[in-house]
Amino acid sequence: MNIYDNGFSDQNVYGHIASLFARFRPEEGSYFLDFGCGFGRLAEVIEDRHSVKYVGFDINEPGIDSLRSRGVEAHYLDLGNVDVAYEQVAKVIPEAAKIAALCTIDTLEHLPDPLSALRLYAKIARSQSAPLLVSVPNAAHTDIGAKLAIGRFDYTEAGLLDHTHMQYFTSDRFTSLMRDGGWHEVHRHDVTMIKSDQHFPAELPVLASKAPLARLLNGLREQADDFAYVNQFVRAYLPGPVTAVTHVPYIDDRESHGAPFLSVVIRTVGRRIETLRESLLCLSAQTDQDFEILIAGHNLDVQRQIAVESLVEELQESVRVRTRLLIVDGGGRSEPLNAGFLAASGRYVAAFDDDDLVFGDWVETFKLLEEKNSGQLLRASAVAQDWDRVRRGSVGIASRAISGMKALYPDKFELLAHLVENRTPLHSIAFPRVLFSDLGYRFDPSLSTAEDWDLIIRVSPLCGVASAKTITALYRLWKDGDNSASAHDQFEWQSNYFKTIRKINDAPLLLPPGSALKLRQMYLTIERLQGHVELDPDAVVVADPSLDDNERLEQLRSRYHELVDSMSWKLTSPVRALLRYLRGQPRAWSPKIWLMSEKDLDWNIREILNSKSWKLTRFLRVLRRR
Amino acid sequence: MTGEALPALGRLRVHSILYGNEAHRIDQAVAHLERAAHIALKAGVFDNIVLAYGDCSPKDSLRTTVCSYDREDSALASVEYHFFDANLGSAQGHNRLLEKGDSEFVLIMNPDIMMAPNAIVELARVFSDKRVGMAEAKQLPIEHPKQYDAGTGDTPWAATACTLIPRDVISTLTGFDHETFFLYCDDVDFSWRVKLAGYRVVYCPAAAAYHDKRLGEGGQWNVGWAEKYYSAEAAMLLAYKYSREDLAKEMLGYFERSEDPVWLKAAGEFVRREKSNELPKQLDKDHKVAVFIDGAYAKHRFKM
Repeated sequence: MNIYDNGFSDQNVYGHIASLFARFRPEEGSYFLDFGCGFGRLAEVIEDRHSVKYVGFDINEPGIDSLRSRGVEAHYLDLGNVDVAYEQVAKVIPEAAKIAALCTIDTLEHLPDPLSALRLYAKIARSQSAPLLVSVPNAAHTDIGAKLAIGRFDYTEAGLLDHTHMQYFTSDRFTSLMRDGGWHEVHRHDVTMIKSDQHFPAELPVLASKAPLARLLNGLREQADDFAYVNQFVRAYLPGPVTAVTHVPYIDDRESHGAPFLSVVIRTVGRRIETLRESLLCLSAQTDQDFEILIAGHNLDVQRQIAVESLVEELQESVRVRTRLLIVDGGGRSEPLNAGFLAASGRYVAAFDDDDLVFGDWVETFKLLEEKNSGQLLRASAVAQDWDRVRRGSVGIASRAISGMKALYPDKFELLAHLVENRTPLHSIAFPRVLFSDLGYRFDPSLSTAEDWDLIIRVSPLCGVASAKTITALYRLWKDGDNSASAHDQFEWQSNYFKTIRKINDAPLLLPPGSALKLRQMYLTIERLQGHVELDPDAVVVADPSLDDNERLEQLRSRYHELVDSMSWKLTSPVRALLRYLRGQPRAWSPKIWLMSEKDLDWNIREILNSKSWKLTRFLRVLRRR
Repeated sequence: MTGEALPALGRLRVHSILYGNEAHRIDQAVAHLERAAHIALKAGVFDNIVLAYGDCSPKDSLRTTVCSYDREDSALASVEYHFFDANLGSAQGHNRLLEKGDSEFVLIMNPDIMMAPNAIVELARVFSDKRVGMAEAKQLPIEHPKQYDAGTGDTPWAATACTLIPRDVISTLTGFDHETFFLYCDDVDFSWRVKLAGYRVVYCPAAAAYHDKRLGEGGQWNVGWAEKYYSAEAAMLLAYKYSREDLAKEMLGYFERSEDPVWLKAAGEFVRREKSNELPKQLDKDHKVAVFIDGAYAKHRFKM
């Protein structure tokens, strides 16, 4: 059997094409033109179901012969020469014939210039507004991407990576090609396959469904777009505008030019105009102005919208031209953030609430971090401060600081600590925009609180976090009740936390370098605290393998000092002196700690830990620990 | 912000003293001021606004930068540059600028202040009350901790980082006491003299002014040499001037015992002035306006 001779099934590409065709309610006796028809296993079904006249065209004789042998009309046609091809089609189809549809199944990927073929189809179809039904294989199927990640790109005789393919399509590229070819998409009915014909060898950890690596890759791919498991894009089109595009789609600009470094998304419901003005002032006063501002106005009524627009109008022109107001209606707290992040054009995106304050080097610090850590999350330090509001007669409401600065947040990002709770105010961290534009990440719309924490701990394992100790953000803790902590009850907070934890727990978790030692140390500490291990902590020479030479030396010195200065070592000192005296040994001089090498220190520590007097006094140390 | 009628205050001169500032930060400060001026002119609180810089830098290298702001399309009627060719300090620098111009109001502003668009309007608003002698803007992102009356805005003193003052008040008080204060406390002293003259000193929390201050690691306030020295020197002089000799001596003793070279130098300067009879004339014998609490000149809402 020929490799291209696939039978009809309602579940395969033929079935999907037939299903799309039915949506156009074809007239009896009209023509169904199949370009690149191959063995045309669709023919009989189409003719039976709709009483239309099937005509196949192909460059390969075996398919044409097969169709003719089954009593179906089929002709030789070379799509590489579209002018000749048009003449040939015109000869075959009667001038007054009604065309029900054109069809081209898994053909465009075999052509060096699919654009010309699409224009040929459009030329045939345009006068009758006949639809075009198309299928092409998806080169971005999860299986292909996963294997490519480990360096495999396996051409096969036929299938997703047929060795005769000349074009590879993602959904986006396919969409662009069809638009450039003069076709307007009207329906989709893609064929999905969880395991494609590229799912081999199935034992590869990038493919094996229970392997953490495969689960991680699959999870990322599933989130990036809707086509992770699409085997063939199957879509229907009507003739659209003619374009002047001269080549098949490819990436012209590898990097977006003219885009700012940072997009700042400010979420507001328009109730805190005074503090929003202060937030905007913090931005216009930045030392580095390489940013745009997107104010995501959430559920604004007309008055509030006017108030926010007035604030934008107040801004100096150089800032105003970089400021956009997005009107976002419906949804929860995540909705305006998602709208803002999707509309952003900067390489990075940071989010503000309409009461946040930042220092003058907020943008500058993010940018400095980006220079050496491009692609990572960028995190600067933040402090918190208590604020309230004062009302002054007719002057209105104004904010007022009522406490000193509170160093509530660590100056370095620690993923394990963040798995416990959020320690990073949202406006102290900037996200690479590609997380949203390319990987499909969003603030979880189902969360009514802690949506920022949820996103941070989902994306930080992927990107890593570059931290700066510089304090650039001030988080206002409102003591007049106007904050998210008081707006949502404890149960709501807790259930949102649980949702996030479940989400994180259900997928493999990437940990940054250094985590193995950290986890090992934490695990040992817990086991010791619980009394589950027999390991005598006294017997541990403390050198930490993650430390550099000097730090390790310092740690050994410290451990040695701790031992010789311990009560139990001092208590047994007379015994050791007496024993030396009885054995006629010379008096022992304590070695000079600062002159000892790492090896000497290690030897001396082990000597103490292995000595009889140390072992004899073990009970004292156990008692003390209790 | 409110339906209350705004006062029409005539002409405004904005004064700022430079000392080796970064040109691009001055650019930004002026851009903010221009916008605030535009809105103030539109609101009618002033009918003419002029910006005057006094430069205490060793060289007049900022002249070109400043002169470029004197544009026809600006809300600022003119921009002046005065090179002092000497480091006069803020108090004397402002006095020199006050000798020029005859506007009804003067806004004293640090060169690194970026005003909110509505700041001038909000500062002007309180001058509907003729008893107001100074109106101070709220500094951000670090708001000053000194206490103020939430209802009236009355406050023990106003920082001249961004403060609006009627010229007749300045004239009555003959400007800042530059002979006593070089960099710090000249504004505290001026505020207290404003109060002694019977005027109110008012804090305007709705008038925001961005003052580019930074925090050290852990949220600590970083104090540079100049701030440490001149604020120590000024503290003793201020206490003496406001008839708190006891406090001045107490501070002197503390600095002398500190073994801190900066404080020792400040203590030495106070002693030198004392010996050479250069201490200021004493005021406020009845302690009506001066406030000394825990090393500050007002009750503070919190400690930084």
